[in-house]
Amino acid sequence: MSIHSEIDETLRRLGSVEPPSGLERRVNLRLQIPRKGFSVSMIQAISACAVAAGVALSAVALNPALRNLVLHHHTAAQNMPVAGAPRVVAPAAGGFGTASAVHVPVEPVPVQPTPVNQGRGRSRSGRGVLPNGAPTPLPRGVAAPHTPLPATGVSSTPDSTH
Amino acid sequence: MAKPEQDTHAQVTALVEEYSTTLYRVAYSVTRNAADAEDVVQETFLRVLRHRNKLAEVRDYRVWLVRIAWNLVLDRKRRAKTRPQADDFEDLARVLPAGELSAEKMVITAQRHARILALIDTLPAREREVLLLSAVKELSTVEIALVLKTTESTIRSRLYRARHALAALLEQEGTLQ
Repeated sequence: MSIHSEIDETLRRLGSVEPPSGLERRVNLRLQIPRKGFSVSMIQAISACAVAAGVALSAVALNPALRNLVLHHHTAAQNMPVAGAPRVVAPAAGGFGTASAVHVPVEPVPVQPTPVNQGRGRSRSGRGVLPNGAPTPLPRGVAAPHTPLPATGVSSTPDSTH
Repeated sequence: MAKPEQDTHAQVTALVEEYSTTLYRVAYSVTRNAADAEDVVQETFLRVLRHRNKLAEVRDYRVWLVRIAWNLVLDRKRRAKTRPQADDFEDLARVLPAGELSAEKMVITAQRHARILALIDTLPAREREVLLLSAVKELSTVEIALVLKTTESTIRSRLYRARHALAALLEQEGTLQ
């Protein structure tokens, strides 16, 4: 067999390979899956996302504590100075390396006054706060007499019966 | 409203029935692996379904489909370049039709074919691609030119060069042995 006829034979065999049986059926089956998958799963995913977003938004809108937390807490926390943290200023131009990365000022930096709590009767922690100058509230519970009770000769302790 | 969608799907199903075998052969000529070739055929028709709005503009479905499959299989080959090629002669003997040969002759023939295919893989890309597409019996030179977006004369000259280079490699191998 000559070389050219060998090449022809190899190419002929390569080009006439029979596909495995049921190829068309499997291809058609595969073509049907993504269409169904898309229509069902995408709608489900979109509706689930919409419901979740609606619940989250209504929770924020209806609950004042959550609303405060979302709308104020973040900005307040950003603006408040951190207690005890060293004040860092921008590094001097031209510096490089670890030593020049943080510049500590020689003179003390004046601390800004602590922001006054402007809430009405509620601190950030949620506990009640009295305004300045208000009278001391009356103690709660049962009032006890200031004068001691007269002695009866019987010990009030339960152990004395033994 | 659902009628055009159903029509399109029926059209794609008809394309699957008509061109699956051709596309499988095109893919197999590059992958030499049945499962990979079938994957390429499936991926080709998935692409068709994705771009079904273009179906009306297509003039030659065979060329259009073969071009999609060809690009897919070359892309797959490029990505799997690091994977070592298996020299599974028994699989090749099973897949390649060998007529009424005895088992022993079939294995020897398969080995010889595998060697020629391995030498085809060493040819320059342009010549190799033309040679492999020319092996697919359903494709004419004109169609190969359309698939590769070149002229028919270019295809003929590349095919000539590829065959002579391959013959030279085989002769060289024969003198060495």
